[in-house]
Amino acid sequence: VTTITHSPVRVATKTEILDGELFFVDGVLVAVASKLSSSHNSEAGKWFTEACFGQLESTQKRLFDTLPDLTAFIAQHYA
Amino acid sequence: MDSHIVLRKLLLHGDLSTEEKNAFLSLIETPRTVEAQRVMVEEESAPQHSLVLLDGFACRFKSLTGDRRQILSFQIPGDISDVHSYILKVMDHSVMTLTQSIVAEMKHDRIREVCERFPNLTHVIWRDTMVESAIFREWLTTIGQLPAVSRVAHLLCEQYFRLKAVGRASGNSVSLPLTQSDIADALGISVVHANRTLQELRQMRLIELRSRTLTILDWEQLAKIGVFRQRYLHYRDHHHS
Repeated sequence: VTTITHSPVRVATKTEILDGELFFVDGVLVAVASKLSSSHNSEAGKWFTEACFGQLESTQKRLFDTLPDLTAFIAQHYA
Repeated sequence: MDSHIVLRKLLLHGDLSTEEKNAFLSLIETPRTVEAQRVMVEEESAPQHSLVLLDGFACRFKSLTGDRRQILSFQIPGDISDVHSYILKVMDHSVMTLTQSIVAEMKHDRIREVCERFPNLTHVIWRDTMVESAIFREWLTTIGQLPAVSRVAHLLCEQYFRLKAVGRASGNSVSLPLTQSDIADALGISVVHANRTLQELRQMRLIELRSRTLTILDWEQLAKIGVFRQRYLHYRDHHHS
């Protein structure tokens, strides 16, 4: 049974600093996600995978509406 | 006659006699309007005619699994968007409009007929397709080796420079109806990064991009960031510069 956890972090883009989350599978870092700010227009508030590692590395960078959606996506790749 | 958009484009690549110009213009069938976001030529089809874009904006692309696509090039007025199909017969990519466009067909058997009669015209058309290949080499280099900000800067420089060459610039501005999703699919970056990169270029006061109009505020700096050197476009006026 894999355990997926996340903990808050601040993420730098070239133009601003965003709230983000580090995602771990059994304590191993697999993704850095940021919550998009108002400067991202209609995507504001969504979660974006800024960087992915391990099984997620070959996935496309993409958007999720909620943190549970992102957690479910990670779970799929570590099922 | 030289003001015809297709001749403006071809004359960037070589001189043509009046007879050759007339022969080329005679290839262009009655133009028609095509709505935005319509696939005009499908990959793996075998069209009997090539298409020339007289107005609007189009792109070549390859479809991938899911809803992914790679945009291979943008087509601006004057571009013959699939002269390849005359030689290669079966399309290895698709062509679609991005905005409402005006296009005209050029029948393959008539292209062959005119090319056999006018070797210099054939040479100029050949040169035009060679320059397209040069643009692909440039994109490959840029996308393969440069960071997102350079890719976007390069793309904007190229579109501005090409539009200006066919008389579609007004001062430092051109109509550039690309969405962030188009830019992302052309440059191999996410839509989020396309958005951020455009903002970065705006914040640096290099460009303005609003209501589908691109204004270049600092050409020199934008070209530097994009590693844009116009030589690869092989326009005659720039040969010796």
